[in-house]
Amino acid sequence: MDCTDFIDRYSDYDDSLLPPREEAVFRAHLDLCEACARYDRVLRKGRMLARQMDPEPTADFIPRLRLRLLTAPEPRLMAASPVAAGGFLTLALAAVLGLWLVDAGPGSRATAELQIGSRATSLPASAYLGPVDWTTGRVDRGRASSYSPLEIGPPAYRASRSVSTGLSSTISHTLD
Amino acid sequence: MARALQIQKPAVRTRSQELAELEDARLAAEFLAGEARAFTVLADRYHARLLNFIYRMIGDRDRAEDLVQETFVRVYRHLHRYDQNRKFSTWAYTIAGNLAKNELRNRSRNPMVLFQTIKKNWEADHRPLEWEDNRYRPDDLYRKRDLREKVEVAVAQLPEHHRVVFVLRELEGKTYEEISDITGVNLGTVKSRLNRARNAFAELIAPHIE
Repeated sequence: MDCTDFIDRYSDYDDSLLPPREEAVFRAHLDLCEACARYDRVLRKGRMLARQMDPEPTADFIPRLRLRLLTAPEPRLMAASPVAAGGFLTLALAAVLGLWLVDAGPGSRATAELQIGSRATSLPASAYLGPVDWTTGRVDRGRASSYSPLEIGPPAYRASRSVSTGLSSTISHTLD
Repeated sequence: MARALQIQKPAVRTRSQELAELEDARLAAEFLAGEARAFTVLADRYHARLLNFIYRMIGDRDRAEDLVQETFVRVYRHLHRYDQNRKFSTWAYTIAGNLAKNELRNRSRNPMVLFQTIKKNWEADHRPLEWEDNRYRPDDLYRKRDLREKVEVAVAQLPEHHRVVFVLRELEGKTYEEISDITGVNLGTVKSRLNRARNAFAELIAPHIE
């Protein structure tokens, strides 16, 4: 083996892609050739140094991402139908409208569950807007920054009754 | 006796802990099924790696973080398009790589952006040494920083199509197949580009390392 062969196939050697016999030939060349041994050393040390320079994400990376996702168009969930594709705003507005349509009554807690297509998504309607004030049915945008679609979990659902909004999607409205 | 009276509490695992143990594809499936917390786990798992990748590609830390955010927004919106038979990381890196490529293309049209990046990096590199780890002597610190800077510059000097392969292999530890998927070039080209990138990198840093 000469130095040109060594350099040409160095990647295979470095990535342990060579059969054992060929690898032995490479090792033997490294023992004999100072120039190729230096090449190998420089590359390994350079790689090690480069790996030490990984930048750390800022501490507020995830909170900022949550805020961005609040305003991002909705993801299409597995059970999504063309209705769902119609847009997040339609669904979110439908959810809020649905809450207004039903009088929850004092002291009651309401949760909304979007039913998209034939299957409920189990994401609350408020997930992308912010928490809903359950007495008024309004979305509290003031608290939206502390309320994240990344952290929301479906509220505990109780016996439900359905309300048709006439907006192509059904909102199941659950009351205590 | 006391030991006998001890009541073994069953270990209670929270839903978040359960999610944290799932593989990426399973998390994606959980998210698509309505489990919003699964996305948090994916974001936690990948944001530092993607930041490193994009930063190496574009050389601007702040902008790299913006692009990682944009990557996650796209992942969030289009997760239904992700083929769960393939690696999630490959898909996420492909999105990140495309954003980095667009950024570089936009920059080449706007030299002012490049100038601002160099200026920002220069200012960061020339902050006083006392802000760093004081276990080392200042001259050691200086030498170490200088060497790292040269390595960083060497990576940045590689042509874009070599750099992306180099960063994915050497810094991100991706396999040739993954790199091929991420970059959209065939395996042979990945290998030859990696070899050329390694040669160029070695040439650039050799005078400083030995």
